[in-house]
Amino acid sequence: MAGERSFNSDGGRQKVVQISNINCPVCGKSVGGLTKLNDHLDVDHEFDKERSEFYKGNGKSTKDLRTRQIFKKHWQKPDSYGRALCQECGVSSSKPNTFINCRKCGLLYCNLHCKKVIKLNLDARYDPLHGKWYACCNRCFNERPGYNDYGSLVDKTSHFIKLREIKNEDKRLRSLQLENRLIRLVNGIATIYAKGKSSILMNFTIRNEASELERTVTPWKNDRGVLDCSVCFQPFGLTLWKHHCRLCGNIVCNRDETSCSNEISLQHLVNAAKDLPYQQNISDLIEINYSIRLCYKCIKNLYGERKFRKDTQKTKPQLLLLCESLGSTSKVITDTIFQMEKFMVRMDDSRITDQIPKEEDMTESKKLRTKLLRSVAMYNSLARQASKITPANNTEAKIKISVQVASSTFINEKILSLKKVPGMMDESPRTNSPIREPDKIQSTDLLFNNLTISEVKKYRNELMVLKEQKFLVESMIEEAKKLRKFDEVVTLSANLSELSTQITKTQDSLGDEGFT
Amino acid sequence: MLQFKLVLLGDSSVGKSSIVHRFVKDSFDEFRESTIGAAFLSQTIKIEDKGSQQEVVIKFEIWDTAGQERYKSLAPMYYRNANAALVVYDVTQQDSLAKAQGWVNELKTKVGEDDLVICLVGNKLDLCSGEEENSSKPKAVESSEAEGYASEQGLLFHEVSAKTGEGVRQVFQSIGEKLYESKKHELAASKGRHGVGETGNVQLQRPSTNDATSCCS
Repeated sequence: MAGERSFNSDGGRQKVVQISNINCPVCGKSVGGLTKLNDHLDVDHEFDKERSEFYKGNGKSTKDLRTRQIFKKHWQKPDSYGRALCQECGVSSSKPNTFINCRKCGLLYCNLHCKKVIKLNLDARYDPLHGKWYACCNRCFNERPGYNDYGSLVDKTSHFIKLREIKNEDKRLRSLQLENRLIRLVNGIATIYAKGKSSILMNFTIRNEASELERTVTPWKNDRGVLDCSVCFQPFGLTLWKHHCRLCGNIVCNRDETSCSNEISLQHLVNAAKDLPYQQNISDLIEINYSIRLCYKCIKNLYGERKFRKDTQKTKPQLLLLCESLGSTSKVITDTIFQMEKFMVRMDDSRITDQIPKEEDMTESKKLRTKLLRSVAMYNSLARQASKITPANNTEAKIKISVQVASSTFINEKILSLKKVPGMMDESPRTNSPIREPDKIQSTDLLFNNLTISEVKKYRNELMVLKEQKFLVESMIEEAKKLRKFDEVVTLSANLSELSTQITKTQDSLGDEGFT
Repeated sequence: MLQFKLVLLGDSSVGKSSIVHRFVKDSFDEFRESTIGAAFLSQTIKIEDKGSQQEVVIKFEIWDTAGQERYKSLAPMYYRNANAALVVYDVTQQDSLAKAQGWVNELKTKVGEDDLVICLVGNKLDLCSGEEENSSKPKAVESSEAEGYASEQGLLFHEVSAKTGEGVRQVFQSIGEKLYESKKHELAASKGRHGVGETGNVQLQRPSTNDATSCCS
């Protein structure tokens, strides 16, 4: 059909040439002419199922494809009375239309429970690429590879971390820059003051020089065209004046209610960031009576983290300390109960088979029991202590109440498994324990892993020191990176890898006697 | 720029960290806490090439080890392939010198290299100098004793005070000079081989972020 049409149009001859040896767009087989292509597509690729019925007799390949059906030999058959049982809901029926075989596993299901579809090849195997859709049961559907309950899952953590890293890096650079400026400002002001001490026109010259210094350290933004404060966006006017932040150079207002910018005395600035490398002694700097205007953002950037670090170094209130020890004790209890339960299962097994429990098991379970009893007693006393504390503020009162609730629920949860423990322990060691052989008691210079105890101690100590040092060097690397001292990073990283190899060496020589 | 690895060894609380901090940061902390593990610091100094009268920049990579017994196992890692070792003792404590001698022996036996420069340093000189008789602590280690030992073992010897800063720079200066003397020949040889020498170096170091001149803040 298409061939005829092309003869009528202009330049048809050229198209004829092209059309006469056209390739199939699907399989790439060369086909002689468009009509044949149509046939080829319809038959071999089943573009038109109804039409291909007409060509049934035409070629062998078509016949083959149409007649082959999905593998059926594994299909479950109804019983001799023609009844079938749904594998999922258990409903039985003898009507042939109410049940269906899952095309994959072949088991019988009722119509309701075989509604899923899955791609299968003709051997009834899962084939997501070339298979065709067939009915299947829920189990086959859920168990097919690559399927999970949560849909597809893509881990974007690394991408996210990368993005955060860039941002953090920028932030760090920024605060480094601000720190540098602050140091230069402080140093400069200190020298100006030192010079000005002898001068008569002291006050005047100092003000002048200091403001000049401020402008050289930080390029001030041009205030022409700036209409509102860069922090609170309030428009400037007669009552709201423009001010420059001495560290970032931005233009901000000085309203008290928003505290977009503040004049902060040198004394406070230096005191809050003592770690910065000023040229002069901090005690000398504090005496200088000079204030620097900083915007809210710079204050936050420079001092926020420092304050946070300072706060975390403060000694914790007693309630929090108690909370922490409660947490760790509860963890110990849960762990020990878990281990105990495993032991009890094993003991029960051995009782069923009338075996005498092994000696190691006995001693171990005894140890566990004492540990458990001791930690429960500790938990109790800690909880009591926490309830006696008088809260210092509202938050502490809240914490106290939740600690009380949490500790009582914890004990209630565990009480059942705790009650089981002593009874089991009381009877078994006495009745079943075999006579202890004295030569089994091990002498003190026992060899662990071919090491004497003192050697084990020594190696453990070494390992501890090495791990400590590794941690230190890691933090040193971080610090050096922050300060952009990349040559130091190289040296430190070399040391870090040396430490790691040493750690693995020590761990190897310790073998099983390392830390668990 | 030449880089040298320098390690500090010695008994605990003789003032190793104080010496380093005086050298690197030119500061002194009366109540310094004892070092954990080993701390890393670096500092550059300039020395003069006696032949060509040129200034040479030397960078010290300093590993300040902890003196406590617990951390003794860490020390070998840091004195291994070190170019120089500063063995510190306290001039008011006789047994700290004995410990220092122990360190020297360990260095001599464990570090095979001959070009390891060892410098014996007596610290806390400020405690016994000053007003001769009224000083709170007597000098327990006489200079002559330590100096005799040092020359016997072929070590550099200095007495310093980290608190006042007296003599600290000279220690590093002399170590730098000695290291430079020993490395000079190697350097000259490699220079001859490459023909270009130091002029071939390109400084790829980033400029500092301190930016009075940068265009945007």
